[in-house]
Amino acid sequence: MLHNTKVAAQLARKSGMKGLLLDWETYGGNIWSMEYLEEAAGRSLEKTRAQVRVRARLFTQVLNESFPEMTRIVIPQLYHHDTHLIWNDFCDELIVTGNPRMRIINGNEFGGYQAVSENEFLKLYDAHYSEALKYSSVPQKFRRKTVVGFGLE
Amino acid sequence: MEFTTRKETHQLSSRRSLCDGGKPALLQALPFKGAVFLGAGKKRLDGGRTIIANSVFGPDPIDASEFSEFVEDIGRIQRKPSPLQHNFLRINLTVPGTLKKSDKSYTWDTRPRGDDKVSMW
Repeated sequence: MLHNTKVAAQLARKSGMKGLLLDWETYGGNIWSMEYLEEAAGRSLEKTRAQVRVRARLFTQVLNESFPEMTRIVIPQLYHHDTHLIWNDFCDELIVTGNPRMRIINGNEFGGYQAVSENEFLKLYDAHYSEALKYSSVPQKFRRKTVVGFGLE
Repeated sequence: MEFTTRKETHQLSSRRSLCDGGKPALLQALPFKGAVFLGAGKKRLDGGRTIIANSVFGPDPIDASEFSEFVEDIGRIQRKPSPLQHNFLRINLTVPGTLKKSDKSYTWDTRPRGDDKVSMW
């Protein structure tokens, strides 16, 4: 998978794209749920979360090597509520391990689709910081490395 | 607007927004940057149209040379339709096979998947 991630990053760079859009939506089952992972793998919460962080670091390091100046957009959004605990661990590592030149745009796909007024977009903007920071264990880097985007429909 | 210039906010146009001009009045009012999401393919782009899809790479190693026509076509559309538009390669972070829409609540073991060789361990 790391090889394929490397190729994807190289394809984006070689074709002149701005970066990668990372979509974590699972469409039919929350594989980011600790309940499912723990049940299936029979491993502890701590070990599973640690392994997710290991994989996220390896994933991000490949992006660093292949396309260090890329912009990464994450949809549906960076961080999610506590039913997506493992995804939140992954987000921490995307932010911490990413090259300093790598920017992360929070896609806000869920909220952006419904927003129709400037006021609603401003609320989403504020939520980027207030809500995500509830689940981020790297708040300072989160503020420094991420910016707000909106998915529109 | 201060909303975008002061806070460096970016608009991400997705799916219908760039295909059929969804929310056109709003987009005109807010001078955001735009983005198009493309899934990598081994064929030519269809008439230069964007491919709004995920790239789902399985565990078997892919060969970058098989995507040469895709790279060539993307390079050709970089400046269209607006200098404010950027293209992004869209990939899915979940394992292959989870992109099946369903109301069923799958577990890690029972989720639909294309290849059982995938494991994070």
